[in-house]
Amino acid sequence: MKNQSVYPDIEPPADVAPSTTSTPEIYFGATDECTDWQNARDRVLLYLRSINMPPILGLSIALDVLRRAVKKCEVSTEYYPAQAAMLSLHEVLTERNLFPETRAFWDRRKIFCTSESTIPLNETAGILSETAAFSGGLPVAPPLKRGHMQPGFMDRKPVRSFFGRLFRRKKEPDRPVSKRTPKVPQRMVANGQPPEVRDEP
Amino acid sequence: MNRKPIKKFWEKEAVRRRILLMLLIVSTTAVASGYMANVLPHMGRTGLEIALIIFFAMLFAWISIGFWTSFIGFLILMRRYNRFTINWPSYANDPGIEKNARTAILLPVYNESVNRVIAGLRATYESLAATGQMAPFDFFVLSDSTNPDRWVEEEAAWAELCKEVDGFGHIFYRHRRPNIKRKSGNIADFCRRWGRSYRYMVVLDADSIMNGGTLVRLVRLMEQNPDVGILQTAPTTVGRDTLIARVQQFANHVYGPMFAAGLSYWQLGDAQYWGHNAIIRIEPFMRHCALPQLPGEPPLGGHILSHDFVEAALMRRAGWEVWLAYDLGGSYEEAPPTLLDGLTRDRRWCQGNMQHMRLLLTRGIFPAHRALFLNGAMSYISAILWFMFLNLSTIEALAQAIFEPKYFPAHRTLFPHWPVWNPGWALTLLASTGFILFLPKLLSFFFILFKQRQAKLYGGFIKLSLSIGAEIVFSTFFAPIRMLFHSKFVFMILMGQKVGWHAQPREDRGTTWREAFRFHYGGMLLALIWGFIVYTINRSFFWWLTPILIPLVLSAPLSVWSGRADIGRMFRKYGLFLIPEEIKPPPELKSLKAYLAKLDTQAASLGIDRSKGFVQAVVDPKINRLHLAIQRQRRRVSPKIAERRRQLVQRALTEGPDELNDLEKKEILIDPTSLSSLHELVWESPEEIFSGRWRVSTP
Repeated sequence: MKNQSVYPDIEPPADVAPSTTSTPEIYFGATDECTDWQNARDRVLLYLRSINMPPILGLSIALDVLRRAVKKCEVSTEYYPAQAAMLSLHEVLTERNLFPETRAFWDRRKIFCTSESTIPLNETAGILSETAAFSGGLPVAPPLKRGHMQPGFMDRKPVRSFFGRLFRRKKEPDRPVSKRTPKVPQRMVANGQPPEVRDEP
Repeated sequence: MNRKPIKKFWEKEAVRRRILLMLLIVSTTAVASGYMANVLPHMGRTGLEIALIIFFAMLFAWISIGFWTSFIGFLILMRRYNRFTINWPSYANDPGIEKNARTAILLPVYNESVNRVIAGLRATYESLAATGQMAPFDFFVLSDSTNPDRWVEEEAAWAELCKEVDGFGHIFYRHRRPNIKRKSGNIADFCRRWGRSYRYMVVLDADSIMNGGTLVRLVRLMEQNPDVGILQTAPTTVGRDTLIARVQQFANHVYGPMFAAGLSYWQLGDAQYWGHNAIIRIEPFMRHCALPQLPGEPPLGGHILSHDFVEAALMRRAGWEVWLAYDLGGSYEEAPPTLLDGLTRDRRWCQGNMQHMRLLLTRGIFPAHRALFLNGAMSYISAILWFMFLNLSTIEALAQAIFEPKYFPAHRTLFPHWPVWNPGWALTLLASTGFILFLPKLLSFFFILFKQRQAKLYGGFIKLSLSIGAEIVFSTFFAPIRMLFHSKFVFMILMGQKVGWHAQPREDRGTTWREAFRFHYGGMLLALIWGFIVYTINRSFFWWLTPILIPLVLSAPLSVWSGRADIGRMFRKYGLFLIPEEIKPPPELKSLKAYLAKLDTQAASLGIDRSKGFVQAVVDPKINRLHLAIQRQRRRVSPKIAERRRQLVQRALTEGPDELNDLEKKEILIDPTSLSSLHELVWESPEEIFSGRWRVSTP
């Protein structure tokens, strides 16, 4: 029961029954402030549950978060309980690298994955916990292998050209060549590469 | 680069067959038009009667194409041998597909029901996996969805699906923001990004399902026929419960195979592509099938709406063959659930087919494809021809009743002009038209009964007979309604009115009375006035018009009742309009039903409805994270845009998601900074915002 690896952050029970008057209202209940703290607790637990946090780890994080939130509220009056709790939760998750896509994480990381690459997803996020086999990545799309599609020649005035062809005596080649300059880089044509195929990094 | 114009082995035969078709059509039309001339009081000697005969001839030629196609199809199916089929039985025992024959299965979606799309994808995926030949196949959900809720819903559903079927690395998702060129642009976008990684692509529709064995077979056929650019299957319609859709499903199953076999007989390697449930060789498709923009403005200019026919024509112009594998099963689609949904789709197709008329004389297009363009356009133009024919007939009948016949014209004649109305001849003509229209239905009945011996898959001999009879009644009732709408569509397009792009409903929603009257009141009013005038002036002609007028007068109730799923189910209970897939459902359709039921009953996360994709992306940490991960990398934006987005986030927070429009929601979704900020701010917000505005339910 008292295995530290299973309950890493839980402190002795004496902590939850304080006798000093300096203890915040959070530990008692039956006041407005207590209701606010209950909401904060519920929200933290809801968030942890919605990311499929393992139960024991989740509760230990919640405890840590609420303690930090209480401290935040003591230090500054600009926070209300739910706000302080959620800010603390994001701090804790970032510190433990459990759910790194917080604002701080985004700010640290300038380049995120493109839609064509693999997405690093932390398995504790829950939704993709089974994808750990993909070495932490989720393929949304395969690597790009770009080509291009250029519309072929088509008469802009087919009726006129049809009757023109019909009444014209001289023989024409079967396949007409567009008068417009092809939009293909000339260096590729010069290299003997098929113009329809283009390699891009 | 086009292929060398090598003479194909089937081309000579194709020319012979098409000449035969032309002869058959011309001869039957000439005989029937002769009868028509004799039926008319002045034997076709007046201007009005000449016009009537011309319209009649065009309409008769049109219906006789269908008749002869079905008749030839019947002969082919009865013989069970077709020298030029692409699907030779000997190919069935070939070894597996080589790994280089990589094939992408594309599922373009546009604001469709996500549950239906994902359930269909899963059914196809698992059917393919069951063949043991999954290795060369990849699936792509190519989303063009503009609805922000649907977009997020698709992403979440894709991730869930991959997780459940272990499909990561085989099922991919891509969302395209600018929907240039609609579906054809969506496919072209795939080709540009990943086309060079694959040899083939199988294009599906959002409501398509394909059997895994059929997919494997399609790839094999393409491997064995290196000259084939597009191989189209003949999809069968399944899965609907509304009455009108069940009638269409039944007709598609009973008459469809014969018609498809007949089409294949005339077309051979010049077949058309129907835009879905077909396999395409990507390399020539990328080279030759990029669609040009037509000069001018929509509806007749701009982007080509019905891209499929044009792509087939371009493929053929480049020297590649296009075949219809009419006898390949395991390919399914769904019919529109209501009459109005079907008409909405027809409106779009009508515009696309009318655009094809501009390509009719384009250089390099093969004659067979020019004929297909004309045929497609005639599907709608025939409606206006029929409408004009009825109008001219009415004018003729009224003129007969109002004006005194001139027995003795101004110039001298030996005999007086004696207008003759021969009801016997009229009945003969009516009977021969009925013969042309209904004989294919009878032939299908015989084919099922005596050759296939599968009447029990349609409920047995009696129920099959009753269903065919009821289908004839239904199609007779709906034909005038469709005629009127199609005429209106053609007229509106010629007047320059263009069509929008709306998602096709994929569920059995009905038609409300309000909707029905809004769409049909014009036709009902027209029929009442028309009927009243004819009844007052020429009562005998009125009875000839009743098969047209009665359905038009009843069009609103017909539209409502035929769109109801409970009436469709009642018919099913009595064994009418049954199809083999209902009596003996194939595994992929069973799976579809099961997955759909499962998805529809899935619980909401955090008390947020699954259809509220935007709220989920903002509130649910998992969905939020997934969406951010799928987005492209952050981009620097100008301070002005950044400030606008900051204010938008603030407004979204305080006013809630209901106060944002789709564009504002999308702006938040495309910007990782805004979305992640809003996510944190919502969770940090006071209770009245968190539970009140964003409606997150805490336990």
